[in-house]
Amino acid sequence: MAEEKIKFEKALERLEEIVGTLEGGDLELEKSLKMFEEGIKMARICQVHLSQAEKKIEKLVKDHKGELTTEPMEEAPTPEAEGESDDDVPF
Amino acid sequence: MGDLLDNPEKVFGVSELSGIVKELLEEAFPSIWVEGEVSKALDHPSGHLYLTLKENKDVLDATMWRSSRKNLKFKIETGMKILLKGRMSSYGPYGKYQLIAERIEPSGVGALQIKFEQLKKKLAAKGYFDENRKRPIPEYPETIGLVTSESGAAFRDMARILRRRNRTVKIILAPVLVEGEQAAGQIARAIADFNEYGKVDVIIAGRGGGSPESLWAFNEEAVADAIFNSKIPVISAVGHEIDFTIADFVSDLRASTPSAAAELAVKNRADLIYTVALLAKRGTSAVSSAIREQRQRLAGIVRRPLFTDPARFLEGGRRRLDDSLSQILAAVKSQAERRRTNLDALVRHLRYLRPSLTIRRRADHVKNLDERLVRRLYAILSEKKRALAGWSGPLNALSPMRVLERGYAIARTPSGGVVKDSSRVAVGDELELLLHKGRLGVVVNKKL
Repeated sequence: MAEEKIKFEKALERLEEIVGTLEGGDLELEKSLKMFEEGIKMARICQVHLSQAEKKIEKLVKDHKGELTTEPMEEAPTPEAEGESDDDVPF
Repeated sequence: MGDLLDNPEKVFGVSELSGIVKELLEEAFPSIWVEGEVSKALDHPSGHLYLTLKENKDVLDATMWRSSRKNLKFKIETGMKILLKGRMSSYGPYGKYQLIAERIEPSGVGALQIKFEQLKKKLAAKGYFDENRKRPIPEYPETIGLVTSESGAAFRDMARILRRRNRTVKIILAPVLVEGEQAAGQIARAIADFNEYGKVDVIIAGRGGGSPESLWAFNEEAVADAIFNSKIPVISAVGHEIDFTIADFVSDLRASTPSAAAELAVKNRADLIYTVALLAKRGTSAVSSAIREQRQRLAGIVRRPLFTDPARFLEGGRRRLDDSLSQILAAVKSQAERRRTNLDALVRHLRYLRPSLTIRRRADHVKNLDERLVRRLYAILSEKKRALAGWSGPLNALSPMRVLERGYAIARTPSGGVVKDSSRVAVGDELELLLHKGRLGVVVNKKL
C-alpha cells in the first residue's frame, strides 16, 4: 500500500502496535530497528494527515445526471479563533 | 359471575357486591389512557398522589402510588390538562371507583406519546435497539456527514466545533428540513444518500433543542428505518437533554446535543499531534534502551580479560595447564611412590628372608662338610699310613722287587698280565721278563 494512502487511523494503530512491541523488549535488536523504522514511517504518515490544510465544508448534492456529489458551500460557518499555531507537529 | 347477575332473586351483601364491582372494573380496564383536567391534587406525605379529574360535570378519582409517583417528571397543578395511563379499580371503604395511574403526561403531547410508545415497542421487537447490532464509531473519522438544517444553529455549532477540534476533517452537509411534515422523509433520504455516496466515515443526524412536537421527526419510523439500514455509523444529536427520541435508541451513539455530537465524533487535533509525538518518543526511547542494553552487553564482553589482557588470559591458561601438569606429575609420582613403597616392602621382606645368608650358610655348610671330609680323609690317610708303616717290614719282604732281588723274574704278556700258568701262553708268544734290574723281551720257543 502506498504510504500516502494509509489512513490516519491505520497508521496510528500500527504505530501504537509497534511501540507496544518495542516496549515489550523481547525483540532482537535488528528486528527492533526494522520495526522502529516502520514506526517512524507511520508517525510521519500521521503527521502528514494532521498537517493537512483546512478542509472546506461541502454540501451533498445531486448532479445533472442525478448522481450524488459534493460542492463547496458558499457561506460556510467560520471556525473559532484557535490558540494553536499551524505548524505545531513536533517531528 | 354472569350466573349471579342473571339471578334476579339473588341478594348481595355489600362486601360481596363491592368485591364483584372491583373485579369487573379491573377486568374491563386493565390498561387505559384517560385525559382530563385536574380539579384537585393532593401530594400526600406518604408519597402517594391523589387526584380528581373533571370534564364538564363528570369527575374521576385517580391515585398514583408512591412507586409510580417517583417517576413523575413534572408537577401536577390544578387546572392542568393531563393524560394518565393506568387501570380502573374501586376502593371498598369509600365505595368509589378510581383510576390507579402508572404514568402521567402533560396533555397535548399525549397522543404523540402513545404513538411513540407503540413505535418504540414495535422497533424493540424488531431488534432495532439491540446493543450487539450497533456499529462501532470510528475513532479517527476523516469525513463526517451532517444531516441537519442548513440554516439551523445545530449546523453552525457542529461545523464550528468540528473545525476547531480538527481542521483536517472533511465536513459534508446534507441539508434537510428538521421540522414539519416533510422532515422525517428528508432526514431518512439524506441518511440513505450518504450511504449511496459512501465516502463518509460517520453521520451525525440532529437538530437543536425544541418542543417535543418540533423534535418529532426524529421519532418517526422512516428515520428509524434509515438509521437501522445505514452501513455508515450514525450519531444521533437531537437537542433535548432529558428525553430520548426513537432516533436516539436506534443510532449507534447518542449525543445529548449537536455540539456534544461534534465533540464525540472528532478528537482534538492537538491531542492527536501529542499522541503521535508521544508514541514516536516512546518508540525511540524503547529502541535507544535496546541499543544501550546491547552496547552494555558488548562492553561487558569486551571488558573480559580475554580482550583486555589476552596475555593474562593466556597466562591463566598456562597456569591452568601447569596446574594440570603438576597434577598429572603428582599423580604419577604418588603412583610411583606407592609402587616404590610396595617394592621396598617386598625388598624388606626379601631381605628378611636373606637368600644370600642362606646361600652363605649353605656354602659354609658345604665348606664345613668339605673340611670335615678332608680332615676325615687325612685322618684316614694318616691312620692308613701308620698302619702301612706298621706293615712295611713284612710287606717289604713280600715285595716282588725283593723277590726279584733274590733272582726271580716276572713274566708278563704284552697286555701286562702276569703269566702264572704256562698253558695260558702259546709257543711263539712274546713275553716281557721283569728282572730286578731291567726288562727282557723273550719269545716262548718251547713248553717244558
